[in-house]
Amino acid sequence: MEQLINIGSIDDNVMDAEGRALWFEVKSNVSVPVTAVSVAEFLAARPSPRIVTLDLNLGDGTLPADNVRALIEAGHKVIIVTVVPDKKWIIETTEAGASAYLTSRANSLDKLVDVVQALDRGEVPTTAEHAFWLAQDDRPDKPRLTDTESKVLRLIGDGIKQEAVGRRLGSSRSTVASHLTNIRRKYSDSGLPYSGAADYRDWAKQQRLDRDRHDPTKDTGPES
Amino acid sequence: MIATGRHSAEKNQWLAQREADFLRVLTTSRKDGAPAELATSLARMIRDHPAQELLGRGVEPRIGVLPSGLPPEVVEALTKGAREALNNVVKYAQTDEVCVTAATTADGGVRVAVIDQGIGFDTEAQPPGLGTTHSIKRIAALGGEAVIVSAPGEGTTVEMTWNS
Repeated sequence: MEQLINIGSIDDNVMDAEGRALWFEVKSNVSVPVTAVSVAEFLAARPSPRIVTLDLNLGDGTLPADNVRALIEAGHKVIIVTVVPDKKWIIETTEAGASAYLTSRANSLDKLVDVVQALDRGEVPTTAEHAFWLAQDDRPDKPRLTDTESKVLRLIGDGIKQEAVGRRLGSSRSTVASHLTNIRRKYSDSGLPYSGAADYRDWAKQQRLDRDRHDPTKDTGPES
Repeated sequence: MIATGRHSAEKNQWLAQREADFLRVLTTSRKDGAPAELATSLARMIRDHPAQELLGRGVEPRIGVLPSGLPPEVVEALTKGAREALNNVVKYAQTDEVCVTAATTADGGVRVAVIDQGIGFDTEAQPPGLGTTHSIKRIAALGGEAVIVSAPGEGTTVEMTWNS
């Protein structure tokens, strides 16, 4: 029997978070003893699992990259989970040091378990979705990747397994893995400035994520 | 059609997943409200493809922001090519892991790929069937390219690219 891995969950969509937690409990060796709707609430909670899933857009006005940095400074490893992927914020949270990125897809929760287990083993997994969105990075000052690194990112983004990518490039699985490690390091070392609060607000407004939501840390209820 | 009480919980979850994937693509594939003809066409094809029902996990779409204003015949050729590739996944691949990716290329063109994790085949020994050959020709006639990459045990990728 595999050892139980405890993780935390930060998501303002309580139904999504509870659904995932229940699935984990029934189907995997992952357990979610701490759920929070904000980073502040999670950081104040005990116990404080090292691995935490973070919803990209918490609806409380906090910036995705700030959230990632606050969690990392407190010693956590962050898995970004989104319902709707958006390249800009996936790239920024990667640069802020998030360990992994996944789309929240009910039929793919086993992939989230794979990511949790890889993190628990000390790896920095790059999922197919993560590679796909990083490969779409078209910022003029983006980290410079070699031709082989760009190819690896595109093939992993297609969902092709590392072994098969290696055979296509005439190299081994471990070479592909080290390309991915180098790509991730280029991103986490990029030192590029993050978007400001105004950029994020504009984007959230465009996506209609700025609708008023109840902030349990601030007032007594939605009517007040 | 939205799930009703007639279905099992599993079926309901599957239907919800399919619709969520469809809406997700419509949300992520357009920039500043521009029409995203190819993304919409692919999203519809993926949602309505029998592979959704025949493969346990359904078809996972990964579609980025695509160029708008593509010629309609290119949209049609790429969509039909992807549909044919999904047909072949259902018939031959023996897997339920398949995804369709579409992205803008570095030189402003598009790349659409259908990737399965199935049994694969020897592309030298086994020439593509009629439907696939027709798809490849149609894309080539429009100035694009379609290639099949596969090996026994390694899954199959059908990759289509088109540049304006």
